[in-house]
Amino acid sequence: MGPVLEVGMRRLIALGLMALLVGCGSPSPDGTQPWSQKILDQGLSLLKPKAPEPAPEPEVFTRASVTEGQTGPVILVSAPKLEAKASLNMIQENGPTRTYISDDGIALLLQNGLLAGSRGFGDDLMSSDHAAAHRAILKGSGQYERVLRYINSQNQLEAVPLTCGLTDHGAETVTILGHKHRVTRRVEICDLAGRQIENTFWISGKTIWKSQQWVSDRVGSLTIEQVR
Amino acid sequence: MKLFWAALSGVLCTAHISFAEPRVTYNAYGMPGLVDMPSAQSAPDAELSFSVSQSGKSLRNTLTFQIAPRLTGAFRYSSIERPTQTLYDRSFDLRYRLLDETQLRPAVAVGLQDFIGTGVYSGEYVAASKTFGPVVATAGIGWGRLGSHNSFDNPLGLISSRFDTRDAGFTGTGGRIESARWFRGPAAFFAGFAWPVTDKVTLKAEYSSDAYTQEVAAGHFEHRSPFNLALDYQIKPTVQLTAYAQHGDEIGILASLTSNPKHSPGGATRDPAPMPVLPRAKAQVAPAGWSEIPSLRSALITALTPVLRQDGIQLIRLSLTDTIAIATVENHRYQSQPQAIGHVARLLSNVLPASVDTIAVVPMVKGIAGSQVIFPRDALETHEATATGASDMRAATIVTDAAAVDHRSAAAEGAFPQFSWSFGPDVSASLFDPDNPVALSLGAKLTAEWVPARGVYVTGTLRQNIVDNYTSTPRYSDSIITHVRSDSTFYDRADGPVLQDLTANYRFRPGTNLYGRFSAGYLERMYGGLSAELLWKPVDSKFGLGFEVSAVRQRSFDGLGFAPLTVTTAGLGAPRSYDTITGHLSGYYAFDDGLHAQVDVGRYLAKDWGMSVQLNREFNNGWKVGAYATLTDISFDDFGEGSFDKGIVMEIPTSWSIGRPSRVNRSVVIRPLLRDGGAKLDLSDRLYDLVRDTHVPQLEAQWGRFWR
Repeated sequence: MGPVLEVGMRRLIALGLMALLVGCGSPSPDGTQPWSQKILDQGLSLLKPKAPEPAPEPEVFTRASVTEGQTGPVILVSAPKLEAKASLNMIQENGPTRTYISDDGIALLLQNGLLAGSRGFGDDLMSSDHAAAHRAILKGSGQYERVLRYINSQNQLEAVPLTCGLTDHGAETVTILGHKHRVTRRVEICDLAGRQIENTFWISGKTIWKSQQWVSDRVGSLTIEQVR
Repeated sequence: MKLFWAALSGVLCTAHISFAEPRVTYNAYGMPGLVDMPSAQSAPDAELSFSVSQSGKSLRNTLTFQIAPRLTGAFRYSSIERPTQTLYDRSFDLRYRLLDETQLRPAVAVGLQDFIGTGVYSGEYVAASKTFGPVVATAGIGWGRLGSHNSFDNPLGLISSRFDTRDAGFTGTGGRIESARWFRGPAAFFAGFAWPVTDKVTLKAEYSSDAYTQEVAAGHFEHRSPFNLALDYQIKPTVQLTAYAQHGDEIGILASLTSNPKHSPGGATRDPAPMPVLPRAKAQVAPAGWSEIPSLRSALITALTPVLRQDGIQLIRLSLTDTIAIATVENHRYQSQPQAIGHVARLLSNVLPASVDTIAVVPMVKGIAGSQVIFPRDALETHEATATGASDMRAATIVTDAAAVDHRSAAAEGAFPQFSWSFGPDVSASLFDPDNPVALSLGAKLTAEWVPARGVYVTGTLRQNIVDNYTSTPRYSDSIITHVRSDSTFYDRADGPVLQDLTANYRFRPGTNLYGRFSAGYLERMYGGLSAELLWKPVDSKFGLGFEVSAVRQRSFDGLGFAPLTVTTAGLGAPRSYDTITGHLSGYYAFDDGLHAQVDVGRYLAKDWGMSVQLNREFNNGWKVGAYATLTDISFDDFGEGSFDKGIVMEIPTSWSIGRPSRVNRSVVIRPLLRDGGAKLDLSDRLYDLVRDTHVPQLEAQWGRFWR
């Protein structure tokens, strides 16, 4: 699935570029634009389906390997329960929401570093309200409620309410692919229908450099590191 | 009629909170219960179970469905060896839980066992079950078969002396609802308990009120003791194995497999991540009049087509003005239309110039545009990742009829003609022939579809049988009316590649709220001819009304021509010719809570007039479980065994079992008896199911997947 999605993505980016170029021109009265048509043709040739390239899966993640060819933000995500690790690149920023995507079609939606949704796992987090959590993380303490939403087997959204408390665990240093960050560790413990889930945030100023955030029973917790 | 529906939905939709959740295990009849005796328990809502029990000379196969939280239904196919010949019997059970268990009170249920049919197992009961710690104790009173050991005078005789006696046997040709026998004759007590010894093992013991009169008379065993004992082992939560000892003389085994349409084995389907929304602020600014530039329009279509195709969605048409974009698409991948619509809307946001402020998606199903789903572009950006994004998006969305959508704009390049084909193995089963209860055939099937223009579909299916377990001589139908269906076995047995169907269909929109279809060709395996259908179904309505009429001729056994052989109990005779006009007025209604009703009134294949009622419980993931019955002016005696046509229908979505998106569903129809009365033409792709997939009730039921 990965290469297929990637080709689609590349095509869209190319299309965006093409539309940008065409948008600069003005239509002649008869509606034809010889010069812009040429650019269109060039743009379209970019969009022709190409043979899917094998996605090289780096065994070892280095700063160079995960940022190669990327200009935007990059996160490194590991899912211990699924025994998977991947780098995800930001492909879109819409208001506070950043969408990161992996080569094999896994996406995370992060808002200020907090998980607002996941896609592509199956048992995905569809949405989350975490405004109160975000305030508490910045402040270092807080008691609040939040709601996670999931799709159940009957295609319906199910709201899961959480009661959470956040505490500060002092200063630490985290190292993300060779870069050291001086951070404060803040731990959120939430009650989910009688059991506990734990999310941890390593924060410096307003930036969450590293976090462990719970997605769902099947996916477990994700470790998310902000590489760039 | 109205009152009937109201009462029925009341019965099926009553909410319940059970006092405790003791383990529910199945008995030898495939019902929640003890060893042979019932209990007042119900299985978890919507649980489907298939049980096989073998004890001495009787084998019972039971399909059980927890129709509603309080209502359990079962269909059973049993074989009982008799000195002269083996008896094959079909039976239906129903159980309704009247009272839930509380701290002081037991749960109470009333049940009918084998209430339609020849009554081999027929009995009625009222049972009470109460939990004491982990143990569930049950006591009850039974009638009929369940009131045959150590019986006493029917206490209901105090109300009326009619209850004192119970007629033996069954009425006419069997298969009728034998309400005149229910709760009649002597009654007897039964009791027992189920004790979960460990997480997986349950010990069950009972005092049975069944004297097994028929089995003892047939010499199967001696009834030495009324005490029965069983040990259940739960191999997996979905698999129960049971060994039991009955009446002091026999050992039996039982296996039951359960599944629940509400819970897919792999959780939600694993779908690749969708394209995120491109905020309009980042979209390209195009000069006024850009939408009139043909090259740009076609460039957009050319660019969108392959990206959508990779997502299993076909772009049929893109209508553009400077401010509005309408994409007509056909989703071939996602079971949930809102999911596909959400994907299309997001993709469009990535390529449309900023001047477009309204995006509309017209989802088509097999050439029929059922609705137009309209979004303000801003809403897509605002609600993409908010906590209540799905419901906020629904509130911002308008769904209208698609009849008015301008279809004159150019079709997407390469949208037509389309050609597709598939080739693969195919298993066909015909059940309940006494000589061969499960007749299976494995074959190869080639299906092709050619779509030269929007709404025009030419489809054909060719099948070659490879291996089967058919008996050497088929069973010749004894039906005394025209053999419109009962010779189906000869069609199954045809040699060589068989052209199962070859049909040209045209589906179109005659106007707002209206849908039309014309079909011609070999419409189904047994009939060819012409068919026309008109459906009225407003986009936001739960109600639909359809009319269908077909002029058909019966096909030859081998599929070519229209001269099937005459079949009598003596064998095959001369070719005959049969043509008829058949058609129905159909009403459809989608209740809340997933109950779905269809009523057809009209003329059936054997020129009989009558009515069919079908009730389905439908799940939002595509599962359907239902039952139907047809009564026509053919008398029960002329109909023959079973008295009238009835059956069970199931539809299982592939996505549910494989955990990946798919629009393929598997349908199963279980007919206890396939005869000639009340037979309908088996048309594929009737309009209603195609249309309602994109209508408001269905879109709302699945809207949670919009941002998926």
